[in-house]
Amino acid sequence: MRIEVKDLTHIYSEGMPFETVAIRQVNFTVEPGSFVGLIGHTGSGKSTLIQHLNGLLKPVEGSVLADGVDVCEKSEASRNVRRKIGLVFQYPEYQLFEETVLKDVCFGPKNLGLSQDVCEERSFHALNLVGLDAEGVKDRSPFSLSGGEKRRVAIAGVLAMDPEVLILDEPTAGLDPKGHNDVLEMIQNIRRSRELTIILVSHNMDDIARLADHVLVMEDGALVMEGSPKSIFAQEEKLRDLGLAVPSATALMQRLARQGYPVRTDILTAAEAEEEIIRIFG
Amino acid sequence: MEQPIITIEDLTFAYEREEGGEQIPALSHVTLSVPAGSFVAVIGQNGSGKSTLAKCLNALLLPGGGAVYVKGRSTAEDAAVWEIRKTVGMVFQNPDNQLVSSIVEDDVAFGPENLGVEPAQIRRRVDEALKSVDMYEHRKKGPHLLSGGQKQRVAIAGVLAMESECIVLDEPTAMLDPSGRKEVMEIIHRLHRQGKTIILITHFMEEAAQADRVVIMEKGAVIFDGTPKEVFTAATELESQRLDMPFAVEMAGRLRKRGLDIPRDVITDQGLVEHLCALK
Amino acid sequence: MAIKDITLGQYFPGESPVHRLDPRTKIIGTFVFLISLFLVDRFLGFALAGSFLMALILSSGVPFRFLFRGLKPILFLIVFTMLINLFMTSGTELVRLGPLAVTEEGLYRATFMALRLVLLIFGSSLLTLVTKPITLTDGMERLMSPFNRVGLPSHELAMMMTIALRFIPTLLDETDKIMKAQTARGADFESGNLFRRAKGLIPLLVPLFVSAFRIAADLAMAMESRCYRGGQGRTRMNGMAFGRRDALAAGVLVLYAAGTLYLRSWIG
Repeated sequence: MRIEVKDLTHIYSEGMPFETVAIRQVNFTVEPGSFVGLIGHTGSGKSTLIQHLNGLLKPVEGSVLADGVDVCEKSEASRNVRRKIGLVFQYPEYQLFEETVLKDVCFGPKNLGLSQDVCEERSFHALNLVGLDAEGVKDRSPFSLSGGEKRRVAIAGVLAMDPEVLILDEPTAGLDPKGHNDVLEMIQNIRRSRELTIILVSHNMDDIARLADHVLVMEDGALVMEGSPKSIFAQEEKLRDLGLAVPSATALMQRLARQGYPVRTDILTAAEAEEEIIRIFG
Repeated sequence: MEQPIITIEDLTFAYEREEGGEQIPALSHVTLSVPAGSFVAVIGQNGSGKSTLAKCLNALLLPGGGAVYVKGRSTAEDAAVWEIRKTVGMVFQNPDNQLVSSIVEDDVAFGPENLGVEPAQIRRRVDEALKSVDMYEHRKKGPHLLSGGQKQRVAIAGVLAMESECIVLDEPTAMLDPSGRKEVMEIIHRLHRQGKTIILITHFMEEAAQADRVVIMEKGAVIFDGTPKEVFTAATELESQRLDMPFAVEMAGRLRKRGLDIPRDVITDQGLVEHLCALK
Repeated sequence: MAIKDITLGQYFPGESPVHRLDPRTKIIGTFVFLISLFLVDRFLGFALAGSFLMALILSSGVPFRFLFRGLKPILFLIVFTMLINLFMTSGTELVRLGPLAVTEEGLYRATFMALRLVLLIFGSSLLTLVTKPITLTDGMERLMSPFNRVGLPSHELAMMMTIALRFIPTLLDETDKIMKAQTARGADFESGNLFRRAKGLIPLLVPLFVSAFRIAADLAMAMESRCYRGGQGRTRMNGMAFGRRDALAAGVLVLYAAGTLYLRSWIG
């Protein structure tokens, strides 16, 4: 599914004394099958932007088209297209409510009007896809699970709706390093098995470098940079002005370059850094 | 030698699951002593017992076995609890859920008010505490207008206003964005320089590496207790995989495998760059 | 973000004489004023009440539009009450519209009821506009404390109010987030009959309650860590003391109350 964002503008509390422009004239296209990283300072408008992509928020100006259909229309076509866009919020485990894991994961598919059998089948697949043992966990109360498990259940709940686009808002927030890695692996797994288009909002540049093939940078409600991870993270100074970091490997190479060594700085991973350092210092 | 501010002797603790009274072990024979003025980081994965340990330090949880002494008094002693909680202040993970009042300065005053401090003194303490965390200009604001990092700083001010000698921070940056994390770590270092004893519970090795001493916990027991450099020198390949290593340590390990001679005590980016420069 | 900005009982900062009164004076004053509204039964009485309130509003410096905001939610109620009183009161008929009759008594009743409600809203709004929530709860706690002896847990009640006020924006935020998350999963909070809609609230209410309990547990731990042990021995940074201003206010209140009683139809 291709998503096109055109001149998107949103204002909170329009007309009131505390009116704030949350996003202004944002334009970009998400190609089907791509993995887009969305980065920016807290308050730059990332959360507001993603809520427009599946019609949760209606823009003041501009539009979001999914496969050519405006997501805000009240038409059947629009509803169909919205259903294919899955959105996982920050700390999604806070949305769990059912008596059993299976029932909670079935909530989404049920709302799509699918039969109990199909719902359960999808839920099973989704639970396995997020790395849980579907059979073992399906009858347990979601509230009896650990934090990491709860989060996976919540993500499975969105996957069970079989979206074509998956938007994840800081899926590793609050997790310890192991949990963080597990979630990243899960995302890679999901991408591999379902060929989804993924939009990842994150503060972690290493994650973006590892997973994304296209990066969008937001600042103060506007889209200020767009490009491949290598091209974006090479612009060290501009990112620093925006208060953003670069991936650890890139930062290290940039440090070496500043010391005068002829090292490449379009490096994103530890492996690439290793090769380059050996090339110069080995 | 001066008595350590906190002494933990053979501490054991288990949680009781309500249904059936089943015991879930959390801490197992932990012995540790914290000298006044030191900066100790306690690191471990979720389930290692580090948060449980933190709560045992100010009598929120009482030992199942063994004991915890704060300035010589046991946390199990009823009469000592308030003195202990005054000496050992605590800052929690969720910035929102520890602020009691709708106005910043009133929240910072909460602690001293509970201690029955005289009003004019409270005012003085609150102002000083807010200034030491750089939040004085926000003193009349409501918490919902603050960022996560700012809220945590207010929480720290709340502890400072109680004139606690020791501050225990239980994963204070886990729910913050990178700039919030930086803000809070800066304040923590500043307070340490000013003489406070700091116990930082964290799962970020990069934070732990900034302390004087790192205590690694796993499954309720202490598996390592030493300086940051010692941690990375002693850590074997296997252990490095389990723990969260700072990037510099990972790179140093990779380069060592490729034949470069990088000493094991290189743990920062800066250190690595300096060493590489020296090689050339 | 928009919801958060609507603070309950919005405080309008200022340094006016009304702002500076001891909260207890303001609470008692509001109480007296509200009671007086139910004692007046002639236009002259309302005129007195209205001018008294007007004087307070003017000296407080609070812009009128803030007071009108409090009126919006109950505008429907006011009109409804007026209509009921207008048509349902028996007495001397003035106009007849089929089965419904407008009587002279009804006209008076309706007008007075409307005036009462409007002045009631304005009066209580003014209280919350010139007093910070925490000062208000402190004041209420002090006023209730003499009743401790008969078992009223004044401190605990005040603490509950403080915490409720503190967390209302947080819980409203939570509600917004949960609603959005469930809507993204296809939940519909808008359509269907009453029963359907009530059932549809479960995906909202369960997580909200769980969140509220989690907040409460965390908060309790934090409060205990900061040596909270109830009201015993607690001091206050924001002291409360009656001053000359309060004595003056008390005098004015007594005069006002007397005036109201005097203007009651059984006197004069």
